[in-house]
Amino acid sequence: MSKEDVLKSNINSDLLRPVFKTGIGWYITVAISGSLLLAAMGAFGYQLYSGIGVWGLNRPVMWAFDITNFVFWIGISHAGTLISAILRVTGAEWRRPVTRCAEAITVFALMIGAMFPIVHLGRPYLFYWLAPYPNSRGLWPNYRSPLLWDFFAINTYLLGSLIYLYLPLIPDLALVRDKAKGLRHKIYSIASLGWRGTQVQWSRLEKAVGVMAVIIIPVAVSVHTIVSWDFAMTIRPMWHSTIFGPYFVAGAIFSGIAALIMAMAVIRKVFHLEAYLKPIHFNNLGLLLLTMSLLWFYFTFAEYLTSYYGNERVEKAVFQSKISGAYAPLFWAMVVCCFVIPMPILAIKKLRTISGTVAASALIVVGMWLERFLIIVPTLSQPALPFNWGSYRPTWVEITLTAGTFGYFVLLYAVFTKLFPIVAVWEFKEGLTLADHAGSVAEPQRLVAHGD
Amino acid sequence: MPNRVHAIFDSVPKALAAQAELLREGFERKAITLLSNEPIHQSEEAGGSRSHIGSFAILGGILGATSAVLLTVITTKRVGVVTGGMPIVSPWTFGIIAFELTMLGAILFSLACMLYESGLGRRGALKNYDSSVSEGKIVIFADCSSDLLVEKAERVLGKG
Repeated sequence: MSKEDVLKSNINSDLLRPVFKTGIGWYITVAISGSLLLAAMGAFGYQLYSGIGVWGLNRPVMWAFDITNFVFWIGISHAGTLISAILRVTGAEWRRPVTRCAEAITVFALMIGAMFPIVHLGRPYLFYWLAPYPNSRGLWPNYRSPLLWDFFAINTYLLGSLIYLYLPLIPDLALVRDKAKGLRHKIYSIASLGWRGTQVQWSRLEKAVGVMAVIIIPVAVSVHTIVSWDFAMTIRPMWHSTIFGPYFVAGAIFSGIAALIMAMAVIRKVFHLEAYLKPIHFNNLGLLLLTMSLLWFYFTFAEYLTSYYGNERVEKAVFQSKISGAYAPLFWAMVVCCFVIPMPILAIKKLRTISGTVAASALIVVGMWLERFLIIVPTLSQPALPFNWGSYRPTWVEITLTAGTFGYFVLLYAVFTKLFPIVAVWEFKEGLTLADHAGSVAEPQRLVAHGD
Repeated sequence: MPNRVHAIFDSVPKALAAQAELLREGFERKAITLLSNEPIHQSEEAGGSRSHIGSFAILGGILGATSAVLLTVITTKRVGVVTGGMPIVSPWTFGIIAFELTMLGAILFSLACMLYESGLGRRGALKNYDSSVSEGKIVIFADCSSDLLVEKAERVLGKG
């Protein structure tokens, strides 16, 4: 029996184990992340009761942590569906154990990111006023507003990503259905839509996933481009830039891959999936991360050089505040976290290990959050007229809400891994079969079915 | 009286050989159903019928774009949104909404077509199923329209 055969015979039990058996680690994770979420809900309740005066926002800094979190989480969402779709379209075989981990990140990160514009409304219970429907208030959405473009883009991406996550999940839901008993069996029967595994069903599933992959790539690119236009469409220093769209998309993919690597490392360790999420996956994603790190640096350099060289008074003020002023510590921390440390770790093969890529990814996630903050706050705190300049300090409410989003994300992810196989079972098996078949295609007994 | 015979196979080559033999024995392609827990690309059944998912995606996209134009242009004009003297219809910005709804239409129509063509979500979809598929077995169902075909199916599938 070859190594592949042994692996194949254990796939079901290995990959379905987290769904049927719950370890103590899972409960601890849920308890910690749930506590963070509860704290954030408490802070949000306090904010609803007291009004958004409990935030550190002021005139002129009217966007800060909330919009930073919005841009950050929408960026993280680019890890999943976009990366998965690109790898599928390009036929990268190593993608198979990675795709579902990634696609789940997209859905949860989008859910969290999309919450923030609503939280920021101040009166979030009136968010439905944004939706275009006939009403007695005489209000109608202005389709010129980038915020409304966000509404359409994020909802399209969220729905598309949910479907893109769900479709390849159907055969695995059927696997769980066949193994589960009682109420669980009934629930999975409904969720798997009566999947039997006929070859027509397989062929349609693969076709649909292929078509979706092609559709979802431009949608994903459009989402973060439109998020960048929330800023670029205003005539504000260091916002009104033509490269903001690609700059944001590159940053989103960059932070997204970093989040994916971290999630994969945790899943690998907690669920003992060392045979599935191998060092080669971390190596390949590490190389992608390296490419994105260089691209991010290129965009950042181009963006800042243009402001510096233009020497416009209002632009220069914001530029100086980041390079050597009040925001310099955060700016240089961002450069160190996103480029200076990750670059050598990811470029040197010896350092591009699982621990190396995870360490680089953790720094990048921190750096990219800082990047989002540094795009928003310095520009707002130094508008064109100097008499109106201000500063910003977050309050405990904003800090708690931010921490809560990380708790919420981990909680959603932990619950997902409990309900669904986090590695696509059928895709992994198919990969092994294809590899096996490619290696032994010349054996005549394999060609029996081609007769007639 | 239609009848159905099924057999369970340990390996893909054996199942494919049985499927090919059934075809040689005069079974129609649509009368043979091969169930597995991973796609079998060599199967006769897989390429048996043409999928319309791509065409439906295009149709969905066209409908999505049309509804976007109706939503943006028609409603904005009817409501008379105040634009400070600028034109009410703004093709560049409305185009962004149109793009998103085009994609949304394509996604939803692809999904609907996939569910329809693969027969998912229908009542009694699991009627002809054997849960040994989940354990990696290959199951073949043969629909027989005559006693002679039942006999042939039992003979061929009996080897499984």
